[in-house]
Order: sequence, then structure tokens, then C-alpha cells
Amino acid sequence: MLFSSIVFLFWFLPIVLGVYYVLLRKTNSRNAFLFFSSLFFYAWGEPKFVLVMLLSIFANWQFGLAIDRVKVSPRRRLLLTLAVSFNLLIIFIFKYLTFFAGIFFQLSGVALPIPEITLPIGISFFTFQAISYIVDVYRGKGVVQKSWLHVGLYIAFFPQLIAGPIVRYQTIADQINHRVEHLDDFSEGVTRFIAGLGKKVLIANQMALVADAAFSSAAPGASFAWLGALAYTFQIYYDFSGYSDMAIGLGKMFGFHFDENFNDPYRSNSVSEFWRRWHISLGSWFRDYVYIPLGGSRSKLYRNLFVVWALTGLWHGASWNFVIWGLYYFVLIAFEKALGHALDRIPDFIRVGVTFLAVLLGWVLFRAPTLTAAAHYFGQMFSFSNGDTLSFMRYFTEKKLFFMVAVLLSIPSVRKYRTRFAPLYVAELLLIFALAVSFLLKNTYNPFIYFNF
Amino acid sequence: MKRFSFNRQTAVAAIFLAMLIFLGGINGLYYAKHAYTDLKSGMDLKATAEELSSLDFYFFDDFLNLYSLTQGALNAHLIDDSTYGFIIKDYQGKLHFPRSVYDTRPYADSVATLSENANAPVLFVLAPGKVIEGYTVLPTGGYNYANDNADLFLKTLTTDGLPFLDLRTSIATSSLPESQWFYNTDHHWTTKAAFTAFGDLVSYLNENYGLGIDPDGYYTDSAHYIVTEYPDSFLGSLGRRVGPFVAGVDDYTLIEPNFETDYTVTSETESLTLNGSFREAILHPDLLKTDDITLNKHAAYFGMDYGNLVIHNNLADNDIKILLVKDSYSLPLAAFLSTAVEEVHMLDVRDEKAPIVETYLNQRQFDIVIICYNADALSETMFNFDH
Repeated sequence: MLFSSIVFLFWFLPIVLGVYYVLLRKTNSRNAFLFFSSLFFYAWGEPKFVLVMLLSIFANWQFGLAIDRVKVSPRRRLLLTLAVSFNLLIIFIFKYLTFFAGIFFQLSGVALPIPEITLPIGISFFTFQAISYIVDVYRGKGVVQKSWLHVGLYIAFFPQLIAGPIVRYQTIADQINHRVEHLDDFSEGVTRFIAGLGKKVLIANQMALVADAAFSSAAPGASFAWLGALAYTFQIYYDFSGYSDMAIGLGKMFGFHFDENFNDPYRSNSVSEFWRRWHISLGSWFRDYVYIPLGGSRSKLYRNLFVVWALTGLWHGASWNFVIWGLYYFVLIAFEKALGHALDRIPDFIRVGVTFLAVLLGWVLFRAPTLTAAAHYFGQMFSFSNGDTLSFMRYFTEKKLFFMVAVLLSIPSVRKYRTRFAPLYVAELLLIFALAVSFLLKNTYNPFIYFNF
Repeated sequence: MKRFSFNRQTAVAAIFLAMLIFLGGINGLYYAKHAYTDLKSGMDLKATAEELSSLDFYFFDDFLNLYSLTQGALNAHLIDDSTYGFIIKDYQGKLHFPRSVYDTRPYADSVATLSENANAPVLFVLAPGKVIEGYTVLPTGGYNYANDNADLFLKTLTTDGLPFLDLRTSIATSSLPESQWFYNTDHHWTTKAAFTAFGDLVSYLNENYGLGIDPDGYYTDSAHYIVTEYPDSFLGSLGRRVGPFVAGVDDYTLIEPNFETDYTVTSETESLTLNGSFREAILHPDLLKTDDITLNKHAAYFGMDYGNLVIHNNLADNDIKILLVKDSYSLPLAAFLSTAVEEVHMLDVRDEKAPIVETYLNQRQFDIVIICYNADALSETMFNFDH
């Protein structure tokens, strides 16, 4: 089920809020209700994969209890290894097996008999949360959950289940058992949710129309290819940050406080900074659970960076595009680290511009279905050929206002504008909500990029 | 526990919740009413919920109006549409469906086959498509190649020696201004354009087939008709997709005989029999209510498309029988034509219940078989005469 769907907005959400606040009083019963609601939410789109998630929940619940029970370090470490391996095995089977079997076939000529495997929605997110639970319990950064329902709620809680943010267990361990819901949080959650819905439906979906047309064109030519790449750059930002806003807002409505996932990434003046501002929950997950355990910047920096960025690429999808895309960032970040403070002498506006361009080019690699398609698209961007100028004119003319809004809202000073006149503020948000609903009911284009991960 | 404070965010939350409860509640009740029926008919709960969450959503029209207002304010000329990709608004303010280039050769073959096997002459009549040469200016990126397709089609008919009447040319020479050929918001031509075409068609049939229809020009003279205007009363098929604020709301004109009429209208496919005057047997005043702009006023003639409909003019002063293979576009044309001949038989081959054209016409004796489609409508379905 999508947050940006009528079924979610006018059926699922009011029923869940109503039962949660009107019929239930105790945290335990509310947690159980949220858990089963989350299963229903997941099953709406993927009924059969609920079993995969339940398996993950039960196994990690048991692993957590076992790790908590065992006080002897080597055995604890063994249990941790087993638990992490189990989670990695699940994600490997569903997400990477076909990819690696393909590589194996190319190298050996032997075709492994692997059935067609459908990717369970959100598997990368809930598996990483499961690993976070195990590691945080192991490290003593979060209490072990005695109830499988609570583990289930942490892993499957619907606001962050399908497209994140990846909530680390230590962040909400206490909130599962001891949260206090209050009106201010609820209200803030609602406004955050509406803002996210607006980002997603009113900006990202409009950008998607342009990006999809450009990337599906056989010969877009330079102008349309650049327009498409720019559109995708904004689409993915407003799509994913909008979804994160909705998730954070929904969490607040139920008394949960998730960490921020985006912080104006397109104002970054280096690629390293970009990744501190983009998909923060994924970056910090890799930092805490991979990069630092490998030694961080203290030893074998470039090897550690290579591993982290190769894994970051792979996390996004089992294809060479994503791997190369991850390694592209490894190269850029390694380059920045090698130059150190030498870059500081370059004026900020140039650094921001170059960073934005580097990120935009990276998104082309990310968006194209294959490496060949990406190479073709890059070829079009730098070909100086006219190509599909008609489409360029069409989309530029029709969507220029949306581009302007997309650009303006990615500038922090503009985005942080809030009218002091309360009625106007209320009207502004309600208008965004009503407009978003009108666009959804009109059944305009409504894809969600991060569902694929 | 924090102190309760009612601030602007709380106000947003309160109204948001009220909207969710109200809209969710009213749609929930609606859903509950329909769910049982849908489940019985084999639809699952999910499909039912998703269906009721789109077009069947309560207040759908109000939200569509808001969407429309946005598009109008943006002065959008290509309005996103889930079915067609986009709806085009030309610089004359008229809405269009995008039309690609396609191969019309098979359609000409269908006409040729029917002509060979028919016991009466077959004439193809091309009604105008919404793009009018020298008048319509489409926005950048908005395409409608209907005229190109039609030109190619007529060229093939010429090559094959099949007769046709191109109403685009004949209407262009009439006094009807291009702005009145079509509604802004509907894909059909206006009643006035259909009436003009009626005169052109009668002239063509008389000149080329010697049918002698309306020899004194009485029935084709607009002076013998009552013209009733229904201003701002019609939101057509395209307008209903984009709302009323993109291309406005159309005026509708009803044209009906101002002379005595007596009809028997029957349909084999729908077991229908209507007797009475033009108004009683042909017109459907229920579709002319001005308080509902979404009613399909173009269908005020005959009410809807039937697989088969026979219009018998009991006061006809000749015994001419015409078979009209048509789509919804021809409803007013058939109505006007029926004033001047004894019988007009309409077949709509899009309807699965419609009889096979060749069988139907060979079981009866017609003076002429007319296949009438507009340039926008040339498609495989329309030429599937032996379905």
C-alpha cells in the first residue's frame, strides 16, 4: 500500500488512528495493534511475502533473546555472526542470488537452476533494521525485546517498513515500550505528513513524467537528455525525502521519533557532504555497522571506503549499474579525501555547482536500466545533437513551473519559510493536502522509486 | 506530560483528521453498500476498494474541479491523463485526445470487402476530425495526426476506386465558422455542424446516386427547425477528464423539426420500441437538464448508441432506406437524415450485440449503405464489420 494512495489516506490511516487512540489505552495493546496493522499494510501489496517478514521477525527475536542470555563473549559473537548471516542470507536469496548466478554463468558457463525470484518489497529496509536490532542488542545499545510482537513492531512498523528511513534499534528501543503520545507531536506529525505527501505527489510525480519520457526515448538529444537527468535528480529527491517526511510524520502521530533522513542534500559543497545529507539513515547504518567495525578512517581508509561504497551500490539493487554507481562515489569521495583541505580554497558556489553536477551524472547511472543504456544516455547528453527537441519543448513548457518549485524548495532559506500568519499557514497546508488528493484521484502518474530497494 | 497547547499545527491536524473521518466515513459507508455486490460478482476486496477509491470516490467531482483549477491556473496545454498520457488543449481553447500515426490500409480493405459483397452501393463518409486545417493550432508536443491518417485512408479509397464524401471539405465551404464545428470539451461535432453535414450529405447522395431526397430542400432548410440554446450546460468527454476550468463549459444547441413528425423507432438488440413525434421518439430531454453539466448532451438524439436501431419515418414522402454504419458521432446526423427518408437503420459495430453488417444489409433492401466516421475515430474496431 502506498502512503500516496486513496486507500491509505481515507481507509487505512483513519481506521488505524481511530482504533489506536479511541479503543486502545495500554502501550502493549497499541503495539500489538500497530504490528498487525503493519502486516495488513504490507500484505495489501505482497500477501505471500508476509511470511518472509514473519520468518525474519521470529528468527531475530530468538537471536536477540539468545544473545541477551549468553554472557560469554565468544559465544555471543558466534550468535551475532549467525544472526547477521541469517539476515544476509535472506536478502541474498531474494535480492542477489539471480544476479550472482548470472555472474557465475558468465565466468564458468554453468547455468545454475535458479527459479524466478520476485523481490519482496522493502526487503533491504527491513533486513537492515533486523540486523540493527541484533547488533544493538549485542552492543548493549538497546534492550532486548522479550515479546516477539515488539520485535515485529520494530521491524515491520508500517511508516518505515517499505521505504525507510532505516530506523536503528537504539533510536526507538525505549519508545517501543515507553513512549508517550501527545497532541503537539501528533500535530507536528500531521503537518510533516502533508508536506511529504505534497513533495511526492505535486513535485516528484511531475518530475517523473519528464524523466521517464527522456529515459525511455531512443534518441532524446542533448537538451531533452539534460532536462530528463535534471528532472530525475529532483524526482528522486522529492520522492524519497517526501516519503521520509511522511514516514517521520506518521511515526510522530503514533508517538515515535525517527531520526531525520535528509538535510538539504543539494546544497552540499562536496560529495562527502552530500552523503551526510542524503539518505542519512543508510549512511549512518553503513558507518556504524560496516565502516567503523572495519577500522573507519584510522586504518586502511581506502579499502574501507571501497567496501562501504560497493555495498551501498549493491544495497540499492542487484545490477552492475548500482555497483558502478556506488564505486563512482567511492572514487569521488576518495578523491576528495586525498585532496583534503585543498578544496576549501574553491568558492562555495562553484563547489556546490560541481557537486550537484556530479550527483546529477550519478543519477543517470542510477536511473538507466543497464550500463549500456546509461552509456547511451551519457552519449546523448554530451552529443550536442538536437534529438527530440519537440519533447524538450513540450516538457520544458509544460513543467517549467514545477521545475521552478523543485529548485526553490531545495534551497534551505526558501524551504524554511513559514508564514507568521497562522490562518495562512493552515490554509497553505490544507491546500497542499487537497491538491495532492485531487492529483491522486485524477490518477496521475504515481510511481515510488524506493519501493524497488 | 507536555502541556496541551492549541497552535496552528494543531489546527491543521484537527482539520486533517476531520477530513479523513468525513471522507473516509462517507466512502466507507458507500463501500460497505457496494462491497457485498462486488464480492458476489467475483471481485476481491482489494479490487473493490481500489475501484471505489478512484472514479467512484464520493466528492470525486469536487476534487477533479480542484485539479482542473490548478491546470487552468497553470495555463496548461498538455494535461496529464492516466489513459491517454495527456489531453491537449489547443490555442483555440479546444480539447483533443492525442492521435498517433497508424496504418489505415486494413480499414480500406474492410470497406472494399463490404462494397463487393453488398447488394447496395456503399459510400464512405468522412466527418471532420477535431483538428481543423488552417484553424487549429496545437501546442508544442501535442500531437493529433487524425487528418494525416484520414488523408492516407481516403487516398487508398481513391486508389481502390471506392466512393467517399469528405465532409471536412464541404463543411469548410459552409457559413458555419470553424469555432462552431466542435465543442471545446467534447470529441463530437456540434449539432450545428451535424446539421450542416446533413445538407451536404443529402446533396451528395442526390447528385451521385440520384436518390431524390428532399427535392424541394424543405427538410434541409434550417428555417424549418426550432433551435434551442442551452448556454454553459455541457462538459464533454474531454472536459470530464480535465475538469471545467481548463476549457470551460460548452453551450449546447438542440435542433428539432418545426414540422409535423411521426416515428417508430425500434431496436432489435435492446428490445426497444418508441412511437411518436421527433421529440417523443428520438429526443431524450432527460439528458438536457442544465443543472448537470456532465450529462452527455450530444446523446440527446437517441439517448445512447445501440448495436442496431431502426428509425421509421411514418410521414416520409419517399420510400428511401439507408443503412448507416456509425459510431456516436453520427447520432444527430442520423436524426436529421431520418426527417427526409423513410428509414434509417443504424448499426454500431462496436457493440457486440450488433448484427454482422453484410448479413444485415443483404437480408434487406437498402438504397445506399453509408459508413460514417470522423477523422479522429478511424480505428480497427470501427471497421470490424463481420465481428
